[in-house]
Amino acid sequence: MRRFARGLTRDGADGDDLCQMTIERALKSSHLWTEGTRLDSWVYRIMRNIWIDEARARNRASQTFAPEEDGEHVGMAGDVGIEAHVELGNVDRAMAQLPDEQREAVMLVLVEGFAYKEAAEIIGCPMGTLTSRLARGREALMRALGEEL
Amino acid sequence: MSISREEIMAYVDGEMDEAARAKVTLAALSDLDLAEAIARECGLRERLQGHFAGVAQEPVPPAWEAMIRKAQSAEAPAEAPPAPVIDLAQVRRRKAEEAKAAQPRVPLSQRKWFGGAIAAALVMGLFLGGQMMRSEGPITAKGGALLASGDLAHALDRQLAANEGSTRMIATFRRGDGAVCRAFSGASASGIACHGGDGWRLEHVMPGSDASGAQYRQAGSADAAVMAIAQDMAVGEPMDAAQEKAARDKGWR
Repeated sequence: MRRFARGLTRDGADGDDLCQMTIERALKSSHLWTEGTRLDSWVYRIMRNIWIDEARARNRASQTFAPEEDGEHVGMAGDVGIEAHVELGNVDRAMAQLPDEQREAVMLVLVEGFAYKEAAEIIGCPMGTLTSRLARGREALMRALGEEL
Repeated sequence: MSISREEIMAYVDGEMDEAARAKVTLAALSDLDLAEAIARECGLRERLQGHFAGVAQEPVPPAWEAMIRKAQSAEAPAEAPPAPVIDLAQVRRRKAEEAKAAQPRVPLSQRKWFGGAIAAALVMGLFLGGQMMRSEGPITAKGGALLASGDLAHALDRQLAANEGSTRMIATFRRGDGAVCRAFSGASASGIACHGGDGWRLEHVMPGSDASGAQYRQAGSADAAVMAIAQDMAVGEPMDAAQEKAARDKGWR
């Protein structure tokens, strides 16, 4: 959940805020979850909706999502080597360049391991749309990271 | 036979049925560009997973714990469904476990195959543990080599690529010294075994689809890695069904 949030927001602090809001909303609306369906897909859908609303609001106001004091969570643990920092930078940069809809397709399928059908359900799009977004996202990532793979 | 980009994607993402998967695997054995494209896609997947794996390991912010505890302790109204909070906690725990499983992942290029000692240790852990004391596990060590035994030896001896079995035979080929080698893929291990005087010698072993984190649908990745090695070892084309059967009938010599 936190992983997906970070992928959506491209930022540790924003991702954690999004997670917190998702937990709140999921707890409040837990009665809407249908027993027997996948809880993770349901939670991801909630998260995605919150994020879309947030992104819209943010575009309008162009203000920061996260309160300033959350900035302290952005940094990484001190014992992580410089190489890891460089590595993070490259993948993060490549991901950040993707359009939102490609990034979420990549996150759901390649990182979270959802099947195409499940990912398409979370996003609420036809499977063909998902796979074409995924293909374009992959191509862009390959171009950005290609020589290192 | 040409394999489209979409098919490569579906192959790597575990979205293909067995027949389509076998077709791509076979094609990749005789097409270096295709094998490379698959390896690159697997590499991208692993790179992204490795990149995000650490997130789930980060300490959970106290505010979230508090929020969940509060909801948990609040007396639920009679009509409300019971304890949704526990489910959320479970999700979080499962994600943490997944991340843990994903943690040691290194780029495909660096971990394609394990050296002898590591392979031996791995095999001990994977398949022999618990079986060692019993009659015959799928792998035995003899004179410093790992030999297939039990069910695995039987599958290597008898099973053709077209047959179903708990272990699949991905390809059969000859290597430089003329020995017949078979690439196999199973739930507990995948690898390549070559036939010699003392039976099937395991040249390469890696964790099977169960062991390497099924939650990430790594089966495609394991097959691709087996395939890439087979490609390097093979002299000439992989055997077709008729050649494979003929080789079996001649005792794999």
